[in-house]
Amino acid sequence: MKQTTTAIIAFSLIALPAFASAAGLTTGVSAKVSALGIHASTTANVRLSARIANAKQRADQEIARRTSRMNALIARLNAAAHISSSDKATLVANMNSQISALASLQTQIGNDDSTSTLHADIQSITKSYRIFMLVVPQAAITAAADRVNDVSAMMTALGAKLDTRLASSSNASASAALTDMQAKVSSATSLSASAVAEIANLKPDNGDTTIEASNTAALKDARSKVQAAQQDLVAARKDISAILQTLRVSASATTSAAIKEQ
Amino acid sequence: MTATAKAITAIVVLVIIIGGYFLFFRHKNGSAMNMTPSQMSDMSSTTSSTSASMLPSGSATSNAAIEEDTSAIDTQMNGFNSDNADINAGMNDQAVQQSSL
Repeated sequence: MKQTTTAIIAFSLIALPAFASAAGLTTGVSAKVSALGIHASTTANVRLSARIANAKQRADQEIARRTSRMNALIARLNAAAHISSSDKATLVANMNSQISALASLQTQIGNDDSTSTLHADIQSITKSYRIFMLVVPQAAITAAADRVNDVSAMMTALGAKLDTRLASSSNASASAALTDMQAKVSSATSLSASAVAEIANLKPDNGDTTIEASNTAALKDARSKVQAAQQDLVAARKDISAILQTLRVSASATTSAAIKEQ
Repeated sequence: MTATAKAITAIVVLVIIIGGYFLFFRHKNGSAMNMTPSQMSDMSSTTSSTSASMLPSGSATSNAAIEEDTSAIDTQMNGFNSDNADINAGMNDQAVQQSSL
């Protein structure tokens, strides 16, 4: 009996503290796990906030880039000399409308506080605002065609001067170069007019893939025509150089002859 | 007013009206009535004055003037590359990447 009691007491003295210690350990572990959970949750929130902030910053940059491009094109079109007033007004109005729409979207994105709406709004910069993908190339092609017309008009005027200068000479190669120059300028003018006419009446596809394909084909063809017109003018410029060389040689010969006579 | 004074006044007014008409007509149409032959040939050389105004040297045809005009043409043609870049950028616009969301 006495030994049993002693054993019980000894067991109690050993087991209870161990039990208590184990309980305390569990409590400590639970506390730590709970603390870790809170820490992890906080860390995840911080990371998510950082991702949202980065996404918004990226969206702002993309909107600013597109807006800047459209403002530059508006300035080009307003200064263009060979575009009809009505065409100019239509293109400028379309781009101003897009600029306003993107500004509204930028505000909306700034107020987004969930990833799902933010994701959708950022996608709409390109998807829903596909008008940008029509209006900007339309304006850019029209502005490029206007520059072609500017250069063509200048070359036509210069051609008249060169014709006057060459009238008093019998240089066949220079005359041939002048004829070629005039033909190239005429070709460039026709191509630029054709390019502008091809895209002037294009409408946004609003998600219609058939219209989208048609618009894309028209824009690509118009771009090719503008580039062909530019190449014509490059060739015409080479003709001008050849004629100028003839005039310089002629002037030099005239000066030498005049010195000899003296 | 005497009859003579009235007649003189009428003649003066008539002369003023007729003279003004001729002056207006001459200024508007560049009448050749009082122009020298050199002035007339200058007029024919400026038949393309509108297009010549596109050029910095105007209607001058000297080598220096033509060189100046050619330089202005080159300046315009230097813009072809940026025009093509604008066209390509508009046609190749890409969706905003969202891998971070």
